[in-house]
Amino acid sequence: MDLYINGTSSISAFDSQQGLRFDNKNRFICIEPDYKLIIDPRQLRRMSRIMRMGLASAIKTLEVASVQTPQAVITATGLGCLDDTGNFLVKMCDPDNRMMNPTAFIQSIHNTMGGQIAMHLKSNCYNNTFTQDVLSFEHALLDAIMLLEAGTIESVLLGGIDELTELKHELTSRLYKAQKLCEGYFGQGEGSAFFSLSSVPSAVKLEAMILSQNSKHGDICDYISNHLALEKKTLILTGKCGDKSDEAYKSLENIFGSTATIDYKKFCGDYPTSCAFAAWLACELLQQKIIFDAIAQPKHIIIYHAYPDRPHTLIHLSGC
Amino acid sequence: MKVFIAGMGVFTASGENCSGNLSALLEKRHGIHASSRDIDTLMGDFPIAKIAYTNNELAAKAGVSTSWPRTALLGVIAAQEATASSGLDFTKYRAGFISGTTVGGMDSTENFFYSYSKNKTAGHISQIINHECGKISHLIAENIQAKDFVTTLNTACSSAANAIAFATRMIKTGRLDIAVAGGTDALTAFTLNGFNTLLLLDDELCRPFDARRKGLNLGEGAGYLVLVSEEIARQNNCPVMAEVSGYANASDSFHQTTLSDEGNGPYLAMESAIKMAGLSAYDVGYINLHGTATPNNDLSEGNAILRLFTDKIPAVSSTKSYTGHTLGASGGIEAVYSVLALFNQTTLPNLRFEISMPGTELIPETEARKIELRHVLSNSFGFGGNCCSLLFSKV
Repeated sequence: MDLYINGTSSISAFDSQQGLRFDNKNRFICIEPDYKLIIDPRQLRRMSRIMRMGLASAIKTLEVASVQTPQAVITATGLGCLDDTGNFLVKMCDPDNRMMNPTAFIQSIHNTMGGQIAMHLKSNCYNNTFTQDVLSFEHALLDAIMLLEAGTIESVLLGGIDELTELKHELTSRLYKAQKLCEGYFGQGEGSAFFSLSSVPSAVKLEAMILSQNSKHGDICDYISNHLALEKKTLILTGKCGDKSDEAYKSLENIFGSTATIDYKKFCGDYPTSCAFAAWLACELLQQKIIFDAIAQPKHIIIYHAYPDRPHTLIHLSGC
Repeated sequence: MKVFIAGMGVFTASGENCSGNLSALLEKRHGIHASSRDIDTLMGDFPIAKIAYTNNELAAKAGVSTSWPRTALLGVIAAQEATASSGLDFTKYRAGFISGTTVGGMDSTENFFYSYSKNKTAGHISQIINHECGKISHLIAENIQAKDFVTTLNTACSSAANAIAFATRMIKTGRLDIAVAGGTDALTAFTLNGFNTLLLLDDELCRPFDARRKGLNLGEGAGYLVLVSEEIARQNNCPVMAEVSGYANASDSFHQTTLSDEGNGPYLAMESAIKMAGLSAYDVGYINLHGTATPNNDLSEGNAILRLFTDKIPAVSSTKSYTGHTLGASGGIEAVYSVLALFNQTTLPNLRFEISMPGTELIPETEARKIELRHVLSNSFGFGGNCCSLLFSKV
């Protein structure tokens, strides 16, 4: 069955008008919209930052897609609601000042965004949340594909969200230092990107998604070389981070040849569901809402992720 | 294509494996013997269903590193039992591991934070590397050789049930031959304090579906099913225990932490799961309730059952009166319990029930009773309004 993306919206460190928001600690920080214009202010007051980012991009996506109520809501998050998790943990672990806040606990759970979206839409539909670190978004997309291919529904709202907090930045930096990973690293990031998927033809087509079985990525190699032999107007977005973990990409790079390639994390930073940002960027490029010098009018975009000790993934989108 | 259950594993405070859990259920022996103070000395005294082994003992039992978070240790033991009981060689097939968890490696993260909160440069950073929920699944999948597809769902207390439903679909659509699916969660200070700030903990043993219920007891554990396609079951002459005949996910869409009084999400999940199997509500012989023993959950679930089953209410019981509420693992543990009930043609007793809830008058099973069962429903509902029901049928 052919599947299409008929609407998308994202909050990230990159804005085609405002450029890139990159702070002095080498971090990609989201350029956030005026939420009051998108979410009821009474609701807004009780919402954490990641909830705002998620709900606002979900609402915008449905607006763009002219979908009132999707028939499924699927979210992906690698680390969940980190700010609330961190707040609750820090207070709990400080014996002298143990003022734990129930709201932080309630909102610390990974499915908080999915639940909020359902409540906002007053929808009883299918609702699921995937959290498989860097593969979370691809797995949520797989769920969406399976639901649509089953033919019982025709519209899915899908999103990937992760937030960067001071605590995460501090601890992850320590971890990277311990693992000597930081040299050349683009920086940590965050973002929320949502998509409306449908079986009804639309501007962007989902040509393929391939998840390799663990480290055997022959399928992905074959797919890319077969595709590139036929289609010259292709852009490849890679999930490279700038550091030595990029070595995992080496096995496929000779296949890319002279194909235009962009390391998309230079625009959003590194975070578990950054693949959602890449898919959003691909949709914008295919519809010429954003134009890059590397390739003026791509017809095909392949998003390729290679991870050390994890399955490789490919998402292929085309403009119609 | 039909999806069958060819193996099971379960580890709770009331039993270390399937047979141990079944005898505890039939003999009405619960596992809620520890205190919240065993985990967090600063907390009030609440009963918890803690598995008596230390992390080092669990690691030795499982033959894995002592650095694994407790959630992974509990999970791998149940997953190893499930794998062994299936007798299947996973390396010959496309085998996946699909798991639900809510806390991930939180117990280890907490240890880091106890040092870090005193001194920002203290704490071993290696204690947080397995914090993410997905890391837990990765560790377990590698150990049981179910590595062709590994994913994790976190829909709060319905995580494991959603994992089983998703795994069934992966097999039905031909993407996997075998999936080990269920969930695992360890007790942590984080969840204990969280539920305590929400005033959801009972300071006595919990009483699901009783009029005087005051809240839940938290527990820990893991439960996994080995799901296989019809084809694989036939090829290998698998001892098939039941079929996954229906599953459904619905949002209650009412409130982040409470269910609607009329139980819209629970009703839709149960109704759709039964419909998927081409059955009517009358065909269900037993429901393993979500039954957390909070005033809100049991009333909402009870009302949904009354609306759906009207004049012919099946046998119902909540086995959280044995295991406590094991959060993200509960759907996996209770899936195993549901299949045990079906396979042994027995109801499972609900402990400490005396007075029915006003308005519903539902009376759960209080004795293990031999009964002819063809279809058993298992309910799981979570924060965020995430409801999931699974239907298991006799083969």
